[in-house]
Amino acid sequence: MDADATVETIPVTLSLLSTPNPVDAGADFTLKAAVVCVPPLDLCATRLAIETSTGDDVGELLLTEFEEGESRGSIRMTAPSEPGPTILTVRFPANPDVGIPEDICAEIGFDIPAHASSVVVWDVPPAIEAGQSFAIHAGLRCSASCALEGRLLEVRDDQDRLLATATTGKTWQDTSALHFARITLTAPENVGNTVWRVSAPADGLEVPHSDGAMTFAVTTTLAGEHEIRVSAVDAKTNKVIADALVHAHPFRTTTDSQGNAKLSLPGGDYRIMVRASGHEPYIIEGQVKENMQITAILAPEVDTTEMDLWA
Amino acid sequence: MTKDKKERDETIGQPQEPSGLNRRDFFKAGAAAGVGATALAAPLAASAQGDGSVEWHYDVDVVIAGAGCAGITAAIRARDLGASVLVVDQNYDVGGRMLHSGSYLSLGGGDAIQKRDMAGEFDAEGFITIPPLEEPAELDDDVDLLFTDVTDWSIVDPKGQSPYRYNERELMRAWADNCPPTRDFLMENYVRFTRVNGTHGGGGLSRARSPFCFLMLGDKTDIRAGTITAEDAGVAHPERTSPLAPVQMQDASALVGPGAVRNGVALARPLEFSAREKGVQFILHRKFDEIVREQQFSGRVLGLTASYTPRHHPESGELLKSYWSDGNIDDRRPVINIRAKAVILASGGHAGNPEVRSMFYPAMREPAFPTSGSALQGDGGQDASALIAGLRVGANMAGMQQNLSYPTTFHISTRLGTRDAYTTMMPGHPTFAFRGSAGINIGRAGFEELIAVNQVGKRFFNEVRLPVRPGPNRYPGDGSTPGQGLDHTPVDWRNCRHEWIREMYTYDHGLDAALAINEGSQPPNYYSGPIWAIFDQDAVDRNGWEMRYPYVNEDNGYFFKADSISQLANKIHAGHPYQRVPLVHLEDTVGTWNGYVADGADPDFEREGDAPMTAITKPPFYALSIMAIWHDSYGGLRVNGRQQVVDMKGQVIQSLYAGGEAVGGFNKHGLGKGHVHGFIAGTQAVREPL
Repeated sequence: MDADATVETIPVTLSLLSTPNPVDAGADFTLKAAVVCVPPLDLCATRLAIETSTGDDVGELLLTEFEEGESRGSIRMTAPSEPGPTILTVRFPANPDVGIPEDICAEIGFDIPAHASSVVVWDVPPAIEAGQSFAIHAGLRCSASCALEGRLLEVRDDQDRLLATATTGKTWQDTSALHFARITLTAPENVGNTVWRVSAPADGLEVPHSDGAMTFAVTTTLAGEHEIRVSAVDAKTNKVIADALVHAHPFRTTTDSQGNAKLSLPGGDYRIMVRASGHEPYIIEGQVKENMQITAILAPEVDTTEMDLWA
Repeated sequence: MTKDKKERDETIGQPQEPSGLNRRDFFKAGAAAGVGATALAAPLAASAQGDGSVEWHYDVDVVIAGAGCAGITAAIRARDLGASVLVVDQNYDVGGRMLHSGSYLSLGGGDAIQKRDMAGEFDAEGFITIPPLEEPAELDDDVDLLFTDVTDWSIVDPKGQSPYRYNERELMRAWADNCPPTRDFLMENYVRFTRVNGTHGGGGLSRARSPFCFLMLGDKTDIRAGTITAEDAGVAHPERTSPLAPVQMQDASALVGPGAVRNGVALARPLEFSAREKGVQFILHRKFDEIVREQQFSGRVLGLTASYTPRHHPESGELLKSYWSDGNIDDRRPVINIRAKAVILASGGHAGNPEVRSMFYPAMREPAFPTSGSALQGDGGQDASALIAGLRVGANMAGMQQNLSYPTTFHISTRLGTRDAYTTMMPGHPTFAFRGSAGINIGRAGFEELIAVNQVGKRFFNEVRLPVRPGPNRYPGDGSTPGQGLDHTPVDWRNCRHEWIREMYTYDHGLDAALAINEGSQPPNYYSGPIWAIFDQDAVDRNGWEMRYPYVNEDNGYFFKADSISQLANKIHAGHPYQRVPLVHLEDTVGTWNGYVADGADPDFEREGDAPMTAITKPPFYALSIMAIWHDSYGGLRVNGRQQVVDMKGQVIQSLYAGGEAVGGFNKHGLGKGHVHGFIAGTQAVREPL
């Protein structure tokens, strides 16, 4: 082909779509782009620049798929943390060799709402002896990952009575922005279930945030009377099973490295279950009225084989 | 060659040049100006019928759509018989589903491997060092017994379905007759078989008929010698495979002896090697679109059209390249027309086409659930192209209802957090990026540690029972599979007496609940939406699940990790390609579940009796996709015993053949169907008149 030949300009359409939109401040969204030429051209491996309204580059979208005459690509992005309207511009670079002499641009707009706050509560013991103290963890997270250290957490009971307060500290292990506190509480004197609440007022923050709150169940029981010792064993290998979950509602524990666990249970009827990864559950039901030793022999899970697919 | 050919290239199988340009110049021009490339292509509309207006770009004796088990077998067979053969495939590499299969290849009828094992003999190369795995009585087979087995009306499975009852008799007879010669043919083309070990689904009940395919680990990969390096086999590192082997090969020492590895690589690569060696040509990245017939509903078939469907690497955007390239024709024109004496449709079934598969199960219109091996094959795999094109020229269909009569046609996978949940593909193969992650196989027991929610964040079934598949078939008198003491009587009414079926029925219906319409769906399609496993860090710690690449990948849209449940819901909505609606109920669902755990009872699904229930409270929180898999398809084009496609009037459509999953009327799972169909089609196609 003659190197000086002029390639005829072709019509090009650049379309954009984002999911979700609207999107929380600092939250993830996916931006998709589709480029259509007439006639169709495979434009894969082209990189489209993504710019803010101030001209800052915030990403690059790679076209990787050519289907039904469209060259398509997508990128996962993070929304701005500043509430309010914002616009992104996506720029398809000029490619005179194929008849696209100028950049093709398209815009997409977002309206970023106030930051959303979430409260998380964990490490609540599954069964607490009535009137005894116990500890929980509670954390506060902002959708835009604001550093919510030093924020007030309030614990209230089902009558909305304030039971305890705490202040968030550093982030919890393996989370990105969950600032947490350890809170010591006292269980109710009556046996049964009740629902308490941890809340985090949003007042006093420079950037508008929503309030956060979460409820959690508190289960109080009678004191344990009988010791149930459980040994978990693999039925096929006869080896002990560590980290098996031993459950006699509402009491639960896990086996140690020797495959042993013990529960202290009030007398009564129980369904005792032992489960372990890769095994069928061991289940036994009956009345607990004395100390017991249970050897839970767990059958390994048998997966469907190619021979089993035989019809 | 036909007399009315418009443009003729004297070199069979070579591209014809558009006037005024030699081939090199044409591609140069095409690369420099897309306009030019498009303008030179024959318009698709003009190619739909053979009215003399078609501009043929290639001329061969046999053109085959699809390079999988049926297509590659047909190609070699036709080439052996002297034909020029061109294969087009929508993928970038050869092998289709066969390449990621387990290579469990059920034939029988007294085939050479059955006879070898029955006699207690070993393979000629001396690779097999273990004794036979099946008793001689289990291997004493013939084609009449095989035919009886695969047309046995009396067999009903644990899902209450009849796998053999609706099979086409003529098709099954031809299949049974050709099983022994197909086994011989495969062995002549570098395929090595292990000891026979049972029978694959749909292969008949009375005898053991299925070995696997194997290669021996060695210092170099040498298909002729039957060896493969550990690196190429994908067994050198537990988390890597190779461009040669999309799925890491499995230890086959119990089936062969020390040093043997097996899976579809030991079947597909030898056949591909042989095909290329014998001069079969391939045009890859090219989807077969249309059959060209003299008139739309009459006359012989003249050829086919195929469009350029490039597969690009999802991270670099670069065009993918096949592992071997001998015999490849690099043609990037948008549409080409290929003239041939015979056309063989072997482009697979319709499990990858949500619109087509929805005629059997409307909820499977959901495109969020691709068919198995979708990463390797791409979105163009199993796209019903043969069925669609066949219908356009008047072909009939067969066995469409048989999609519903195989117990595991669709099922819930226990492998979470990956788009392609069926395979065990690892990084190292170019298409791994389409999976994005290998996923975590938590087994059925792992479902005790999570809640499963639908697209709006609501639970829909007892999670413990969600992945349970129907149990193995059983029959009066024993019964399980060959090699396990089977005492099965074919065509015996007792096999399907209702008392027995009631006792055997073991279907849990979790999949059906997963696919149900919910309030997140909108008309007209009422998509089921994706399904999510939700659990917390405590579950991860208890089970030792490795939340790291390559098992999970925060960028692939099938795995999410978050500090809170609300953030998790947002991430899923933002990151999963088919999460069309926000999971507005997820926080409430987790809160309700935690309340059920505190109460010790699950009033919604009565899960408390199956396994311990555990709260979802400890951050970080995880969401991994749960995939419903439609594995393969059993309905398709109607063919006769010569694999000739038959029209709605019962007449053969001359010069048109089909095989494998493109064909209906044969409820056989796996490779045995496709290879024999390919063998028959390749044999018959070369007998077509000029």
